[in-house]
Amino acid sequence: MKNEIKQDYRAAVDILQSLQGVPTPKPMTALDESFDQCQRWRRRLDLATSRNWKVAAKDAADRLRRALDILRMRSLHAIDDLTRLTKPRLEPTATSVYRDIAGIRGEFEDVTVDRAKQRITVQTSGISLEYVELGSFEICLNWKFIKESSPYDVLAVEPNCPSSNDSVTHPHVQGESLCEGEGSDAIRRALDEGRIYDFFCIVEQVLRNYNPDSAYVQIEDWNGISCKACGDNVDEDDTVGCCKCETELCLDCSTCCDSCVDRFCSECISSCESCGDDVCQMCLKSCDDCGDSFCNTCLFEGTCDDCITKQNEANEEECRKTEQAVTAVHPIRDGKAAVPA
Amino acid sequence: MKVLLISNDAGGYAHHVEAPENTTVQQMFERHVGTFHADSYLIRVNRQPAAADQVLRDGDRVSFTPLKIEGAV
Repeated sequence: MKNEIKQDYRAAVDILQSLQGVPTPKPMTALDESFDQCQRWRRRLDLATSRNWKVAAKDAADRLRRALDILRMRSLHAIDDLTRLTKPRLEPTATSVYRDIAGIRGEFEDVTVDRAKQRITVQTSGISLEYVELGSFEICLNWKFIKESSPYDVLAVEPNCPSSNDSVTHPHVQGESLCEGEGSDAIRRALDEGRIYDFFCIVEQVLRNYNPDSAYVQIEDWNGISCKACGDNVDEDDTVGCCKCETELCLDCSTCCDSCVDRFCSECISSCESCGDDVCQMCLKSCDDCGDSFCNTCLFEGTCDDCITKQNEANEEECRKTEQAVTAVHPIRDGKAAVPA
Repeated sequence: MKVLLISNDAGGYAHHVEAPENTTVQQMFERHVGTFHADSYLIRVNRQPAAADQVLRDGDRVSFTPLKIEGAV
C-alpha cells in the first residue's frame, strides 16, 4: 500500500512534468505546406485550362479539390489550437494529480500505473448498449503525449466486433481510437488542466452512450451477419451458406438449384444450356457429344436434345444416301435390266 | 468559502467559486450549471460519490460529469 502511494505520487510528478511549460502554438508548417499545395495545383489548373488540355485540367481540378479539403481540415485544427491557448486554465499541482490517481483507483475496477511506459490504464466494468454486450474496455492514457491531440487508446478487453467490421469494437471506437463527439472539448480541457480523474470519467461516459446518428456500425446491426454479396446486415436466421463454398448470404443473394433444391452463391450456380433453369455445378452434367452443360432432365442417356436431334438428322441423311446409292447401283450389280411387261 | 467547481458538460470548465457556508451539492449545481437532475450526472465531491444534499466545505472539489455524452464518428 505504501509502495503504491509512493509510486502514484511519482507518477503524478511525472505527469505534471509532461504538462508543464506554457503551451505554445504548434508550428503551422503543415498549414503552410497545404497552402503551397493549393497554390501549386491552382497554377497547374490555370495553365491546363488556358491551353485547353482537358484531361490535365480535370486532373488538376481533382487534386486542387483534395488539397483544399486538407487545407480546410488543417485550418480547423490550427483554430482549435489557438482557441485552447486563449482560455484560462486551472493549474495542476503534483498533489492534485496524485489525488486524481487515488480517485481513479476508487472509481475503476482495475487501475495500472506504469511509470516505465508512462501510462495509466483503467478498466471499465462491462458495457452494454441497447442490449448488446460489448464487454469491458481499457482506457490507456499515455501521459508522455498528454499535450498531443489524442494521447490515449481505448481497447476492448474481449472484443465483440460486428461481423461487418472487425476493427470496430464499439459504435464509436475504431481500432483503438474513440470518436469523442460531444465529449471532445471536455476531454481536451481535462487533459490540459491535468484533471486526469475527470478525463477517465468523461471517456467512460462516452463509452456508455450510443449515438445512432454517428456510429461506425449501428448497434442494431451488431449481431447480424453481413451478406458477402450485397453487404447488407441481416439477422442470422435470414442467412444461408452457399452449399459449395459456404459463403454467407442473405436469401435474396442466394439462388436455389432447381435440381437439388440447395442454395448457392452466384459463383457456384450456373444454368442449364437448354431450359435455362438455375442448376448448381454439381447437378450440371456435360453432354457427351457437344460438351455443353445441362440439367438432368435435359439429357437423355448423356446426350442433350440438340445433339440427339442432330444425330437423328444425320442418321436419316445417312439412310437416305444409302438408299439412293442402292437404287443407283442395283441394275449394274445384278447385271439385269428391267423388262417391260 | 471557496470551492473548486468542475463541470464536464460541453466545453468543460473548472474554476474556483465563492459559495455561502452550508451550500449543498444541489444548490451549487443550480447556481452554476442549471436545473438539477441528480440521475443525469455523475456527482463527485473530492472524487467521491456524493448525495445531492451533501453540504460542501471550504476547499472542496465538486465535479459534475453528464451521464449522457454521445460519441461520434
